[in-house]
Amino acid sequence: MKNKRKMALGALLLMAVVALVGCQAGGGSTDAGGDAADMTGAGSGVPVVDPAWPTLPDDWLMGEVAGIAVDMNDHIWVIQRPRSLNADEAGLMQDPPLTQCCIPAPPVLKFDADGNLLDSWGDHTGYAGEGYDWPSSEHGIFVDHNMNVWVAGNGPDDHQVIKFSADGTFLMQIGTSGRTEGSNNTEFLGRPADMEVDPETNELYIADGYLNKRVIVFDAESGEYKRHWGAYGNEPSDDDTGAFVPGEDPISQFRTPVHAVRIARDGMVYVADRVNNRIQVFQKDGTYVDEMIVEGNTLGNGSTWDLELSPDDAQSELYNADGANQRIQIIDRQALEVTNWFGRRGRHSGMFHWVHNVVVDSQGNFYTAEVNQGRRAQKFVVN
Amino acid sequence: MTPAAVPRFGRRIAAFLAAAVLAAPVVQAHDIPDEVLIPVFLRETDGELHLLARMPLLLLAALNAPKWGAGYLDLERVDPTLRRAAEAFGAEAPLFDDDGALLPPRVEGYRIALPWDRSFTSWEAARQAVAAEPLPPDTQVFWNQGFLDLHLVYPAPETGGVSMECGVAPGFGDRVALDVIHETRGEDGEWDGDLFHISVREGRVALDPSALQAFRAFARSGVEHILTGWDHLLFLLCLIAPFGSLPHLKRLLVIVTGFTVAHSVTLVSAALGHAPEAAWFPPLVESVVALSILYTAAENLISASVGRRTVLAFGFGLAHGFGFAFALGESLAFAGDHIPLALFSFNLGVELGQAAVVVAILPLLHLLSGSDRARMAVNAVLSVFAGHAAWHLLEPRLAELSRAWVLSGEAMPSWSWLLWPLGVAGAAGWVVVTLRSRRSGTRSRC
Repeated sequence: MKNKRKMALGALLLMAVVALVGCQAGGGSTDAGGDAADMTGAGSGVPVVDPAWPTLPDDWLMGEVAGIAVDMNDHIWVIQRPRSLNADEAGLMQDPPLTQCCIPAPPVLKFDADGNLLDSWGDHTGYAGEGYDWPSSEHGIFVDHNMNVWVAGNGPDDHQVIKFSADGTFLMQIGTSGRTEGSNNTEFLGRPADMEVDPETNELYIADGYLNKRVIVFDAESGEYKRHWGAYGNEPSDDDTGAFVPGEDPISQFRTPVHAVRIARDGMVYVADRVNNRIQVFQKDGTYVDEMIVEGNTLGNGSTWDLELSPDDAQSELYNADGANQRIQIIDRQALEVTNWFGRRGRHSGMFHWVHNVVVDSQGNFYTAEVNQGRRAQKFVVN
Repeated sequence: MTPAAVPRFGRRIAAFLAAAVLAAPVVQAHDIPDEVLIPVFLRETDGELHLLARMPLLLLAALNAPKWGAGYLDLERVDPTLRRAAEAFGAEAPLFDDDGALLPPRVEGYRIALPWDRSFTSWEAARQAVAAEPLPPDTQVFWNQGFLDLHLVYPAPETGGVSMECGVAPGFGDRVALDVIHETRGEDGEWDGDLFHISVREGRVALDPSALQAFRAFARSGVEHILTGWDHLLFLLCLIAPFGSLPHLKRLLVIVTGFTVAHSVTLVSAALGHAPEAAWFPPLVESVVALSILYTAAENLISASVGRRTVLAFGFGLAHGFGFAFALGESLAFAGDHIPLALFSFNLGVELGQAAVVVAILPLLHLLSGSDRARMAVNAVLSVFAGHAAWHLLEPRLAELSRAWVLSGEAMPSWSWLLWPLGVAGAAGWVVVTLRSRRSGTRSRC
């Protein structure tokens, strides 16, 4: 009798295994955060979020993550705002401590592709030092072909871009905190948002910015001014452009903020004109080439927040972080058409709230940064 | 299990689970990897050995190179420092002939390269990079961002091959490693390269090993792996713990042989490339290895029979073999042309190490197991200890498996049909053996 019962149990075990096989074989791709159909448009190659990325010391907490960059070694650099945390979030550093966690993480953090913390600069107040003005509101980070690290800020007086070595040694500052002279001044900036260095010419392109309405170029070694331009290659104007109205004729100037600039290997320069929901394409000398509209009816903060190029030789795709519609759009760079997208608004792993930046490593993995109440960096693996 | 054994078994299980759960770690610490890889090309031409290496400037910190401004190298005055660095590399990454005699290096050239320079991708490109014009003296090179490319020349050994060690920047320990591509001419006249990853851990590595050198190196590696592989040792301990007395020697031999045969099969097959390449496979194997300890420890506390134990040793031995293969994987390049011999000698080393462990433990168990009650107590203590340790091993491995599985973003690949029949057969075999052992009454209580 006992043996019969055992036999029955064994049969049940076998049936369970067989059922598991069937279940597994019928399973589709897993996409952390929800059904793939809810997360992406049509197409294949769904990026899958790595929920374990990155790792921070147990008592560190990031505030708004306002910039992310990948260096030539596929290390990921994050700039975040330690001062954006409130006393409750930074309970451990209150006097007396409110809670067992946390202290604000330093503003600059460097991770490897597995999310291990490799390096950090600064403390909960920022990264002040002699010879430069650390921004009051961190915004934008870029690591150039010589491993120099560029940092920008968008606080009310943050009119500067700062160059550091990879170990955090101050090297150079362009612009001056607290002083701005408009969109046609060649010495001072106006709340610059982001920047990139052209490895061919060692020129620094700045998306300038939250106050000015232009792209401005400097020599990345000497800091010497080279050139600048506005929308359509026009001379920029600081005249009030008014609020964006869906369906209006395209205006001849950028609206603030001019939020990102990216340089392709074929010499095209892509500029994110955020509130106008458009990406404009230029030659390196500022000659206008083309433009595209992304989610053109988007109001509020606009749809074109940050740009990135795919890692293939031809850089066939352009990626846009749309922090209003909370998705990463994949754009055919030649056709300037959105071919796919991933992400949705939400707070779970793999979703976005104010996705502010996007970068891609040499393997095609995406890394994103979120501000406002998003406050995190995420990694998406592409299989 | 006899009815009388049930209460005792229940108490043991309760104690085992309590020990395992209460000891679960609350927080996992993490390591900070920071490996510095130095690409090296080595080729013999015109009766001399030519070595080309690209060393990160970071490693020159101790040489205190002249700088200006915020920390830029003074390129007009840096030359003597670079020569010293090249000489230091020759001394800290020495080459030896087959007799162990040091081959004296001569500095042929050196040059600073900027971080973006990716020319060290082949012998020819590296040679051109070292021989290129120096950077203009006004170039801004931050002192730890960039590379020192260097060219060293050695007299070629008259007979036999060369060996190499890595002791570069000793302050960095094993975080500095050489990726040496040793190029030799094939029969078709073309250059073929073998890659050797050498850190201070590997000691002296023969770049063109003889059969004897390969045999010695891999047998030693096998012994070291089993003796330092705590998970394998714990499994072995659990396998033999219930039979830990000399009268059970024959039974033990059967069990250990089952383990040996199984892990030999998967070790060889995996080392020859017949193993899944999916990113989740290594953590799956590592998890099964930890699970094998946990399960065997639990079974020791319930009921262990020789028949079932042999099946168990064989089944889990398959997973352990994959684990051995992971350890062997990257180092197989050190075998040169003697890969089958290396596999054999590594496995032999594992078996020797395993035998040594059994020989060392068995008399001790025998001494402690003076009576059935004492044997049961020893078995219980060892099993709880091993199970506890396995719990700690299992937790992070399962986390890694889960992560790798999620990131794979796909259903199990097509080869998985092989795994499922094996699983079904194993489960069926377990049921059959259990029933048979109950009928025949050969179970060994513990």
